[in-house]
Amino acid sequence: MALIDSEAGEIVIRLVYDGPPEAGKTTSLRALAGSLTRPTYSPAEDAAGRTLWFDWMEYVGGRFEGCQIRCQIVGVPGQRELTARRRRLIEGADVVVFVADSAVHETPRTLRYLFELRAMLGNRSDAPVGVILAANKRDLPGAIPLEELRARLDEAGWPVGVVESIAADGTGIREAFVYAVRLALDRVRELSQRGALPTTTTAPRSADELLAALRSADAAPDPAAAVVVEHDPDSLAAVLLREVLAGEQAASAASPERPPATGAPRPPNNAVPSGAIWPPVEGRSILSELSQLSLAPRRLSNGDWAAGLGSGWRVVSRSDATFASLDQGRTVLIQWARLHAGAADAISPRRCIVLADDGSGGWRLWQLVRAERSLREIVDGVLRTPTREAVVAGLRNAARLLLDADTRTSRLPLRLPCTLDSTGVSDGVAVYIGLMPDAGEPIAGPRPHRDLLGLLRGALEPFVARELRERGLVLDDIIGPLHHTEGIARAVSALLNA
Amino acid sequence: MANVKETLPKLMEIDGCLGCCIVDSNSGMMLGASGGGAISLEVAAAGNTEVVRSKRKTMKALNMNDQIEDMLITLGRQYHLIRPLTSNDALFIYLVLDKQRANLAMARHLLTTFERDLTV
Amino acid sequence: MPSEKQIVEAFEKIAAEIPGYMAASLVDLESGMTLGLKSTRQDFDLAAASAYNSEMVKQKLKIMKALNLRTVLDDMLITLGDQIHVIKLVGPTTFIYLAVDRAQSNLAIVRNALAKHVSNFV
Repeated sequence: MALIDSEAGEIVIRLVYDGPPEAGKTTSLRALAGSLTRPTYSPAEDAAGRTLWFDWMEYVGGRFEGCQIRCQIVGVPGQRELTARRRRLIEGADVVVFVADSAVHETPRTLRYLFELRAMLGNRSDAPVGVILAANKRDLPGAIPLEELRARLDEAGWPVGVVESIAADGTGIREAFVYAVRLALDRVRELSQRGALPTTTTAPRSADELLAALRSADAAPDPAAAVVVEHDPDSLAAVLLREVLAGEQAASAASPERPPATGAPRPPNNAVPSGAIWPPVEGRSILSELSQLSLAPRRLSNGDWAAGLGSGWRVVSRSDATFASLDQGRTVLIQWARLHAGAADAISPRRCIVLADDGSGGWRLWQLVRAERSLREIVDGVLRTPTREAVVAGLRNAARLLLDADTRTSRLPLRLPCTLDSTGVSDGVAVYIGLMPDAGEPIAGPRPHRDLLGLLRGALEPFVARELRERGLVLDDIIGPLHHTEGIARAVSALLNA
Repeated sequence: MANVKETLPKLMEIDGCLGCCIVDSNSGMMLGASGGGAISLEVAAAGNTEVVRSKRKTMKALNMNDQIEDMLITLGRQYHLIRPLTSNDALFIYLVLDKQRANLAMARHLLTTFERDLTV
Repeated sequence: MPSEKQIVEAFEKIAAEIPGYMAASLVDLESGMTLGLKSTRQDFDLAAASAYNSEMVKQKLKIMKALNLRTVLDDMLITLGDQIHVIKLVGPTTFIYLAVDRAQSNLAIVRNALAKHVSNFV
């Protein structure tokens, strides 16, 4: 249930402590709580002290890609009768720490529970969930040697990482936790790359919510699955891209020996002289990443040159961005760099500008912009969610982001469009994700006064009207309140800055 | 009072100095450079001033009311010394020293002197 | 990988050798989480500082890698007005973060103390 909460600047991940009964799950969790000085909460235990629902702990710490990490740490009940509860808790896991009693005679039961876990995780369709085996009670005699444990896991075709622990005195607890967080972050990274990392969720965010969810799941014959807003890999953008790529492949298959277009400039590459690229470090890092591809610039209908289609990068040079000498090019580059730097908080960060030897004695100025997920793709995803609440929340979020982008771009000395296609999200903030206008273009005056409601209506209505009608929702009801508070906020800010 | 052109040769004379430059941390671009391969100096300077900026942001986030006087990075066989200008903390003097030949204490002291004298 | 207990003990030894010792942690680079720490100051949020610094170090290493810089990052010493901060990589995935009161110490003392005990953290 990993999610990124941009308002709070947090990534939320769930670590589940699983394992056979009496292996030390609760003890491990409590030892971790002691080490991190956090309280734990167990809704109910039976007379023998066994967990009936779950053990719960939260910890906020660490950092990942500019966000704090909020860990929900949940211990499952081990008893066989509570297997359904265990399964539901595991369904929300981003990583599992499987606590096992190291006693040799416990090995068969350990393996049985471990493979049950594997089966439960195997039903997940999204990014894989990491598992760490915490071999607990290492201090007791008769503990299975680690090599043998690893061998048994290898044999079964599931070589999970193994950590030793003595939950009773805290040994190995912190280590297992940090290792688990790292695996969870791997998953977050994977989800993020697939565009499947949600920004809102109806999954439980507190122990009380989790308890309520489990209770209602127990009552209902069909477990009420937590609804998550997910990016649809079949979104319009993805479909179009696939078509284009297929077309390109067909074209190159048709004429495999096609020589480079005469007159086509050489694309930017790694060999960039000092002072010819901005930003100096990230730019070179971007070029190094792109050097894996063979860029073949092609001429667009307006005379500009473009390359890198399908690579996730837009590599573009305006038709007239050529210079006879490197020094002339540098002057313009520095001007453009200043423009970029000045707009830094309003534009997507993964971009660079570079001068490249054009192959005919001159230099050409290119911009390289990473293709980011646009608000349009996000809204498409929102419209596909089953519940009305999720649709309303998702659209409000998108509208808020659009207004945020409008605020940022309207402060700039140059005019950038503000639409669902030209806006994306970076580090939780709405930014312009398109190409930057030329340094040489005349800088337009301040943007005329904006009708915010009109902006939102104009941007969203064409795409969402039908879906909303089908669900009995009205766009103005959704975005109205936003526009109101945003209007006040802007008026206040204008007063303060006057 | 010395300018960039006058300061760079003085820095180059510090024992063990392999290269030096003045960097504008806002853009990462060098205002002037001397010695050491131009590209690697540009890359090192831009990258490490970014580290200083990152540290400043961290300090701000943690409500630490302090200034960075300098940063020393030990990289294999080199020392990289970064010192923000007291007159303009967006600008840095960046100095690369050979570990074997340099006297770190002396270099830091000289760097402080030249930095105070520099106006950009 | 040393246990949390061993880490804390190692920091205690280092603290004994650095007058002005304030706080130190062993930090996991990837997540920014601390594997063990020892602080003598309530007003210093060591966990948060460790997390922020992990981002800084990660970024630096990423750049070094992307540019194929074959040098090895040993440590970073940052001299502030009142404090000295040290970041020392002690393995491919961990680093020590140390904060010292500058009035009572200097770079040489700090580097020496760290060098002496760094093997305890690997």
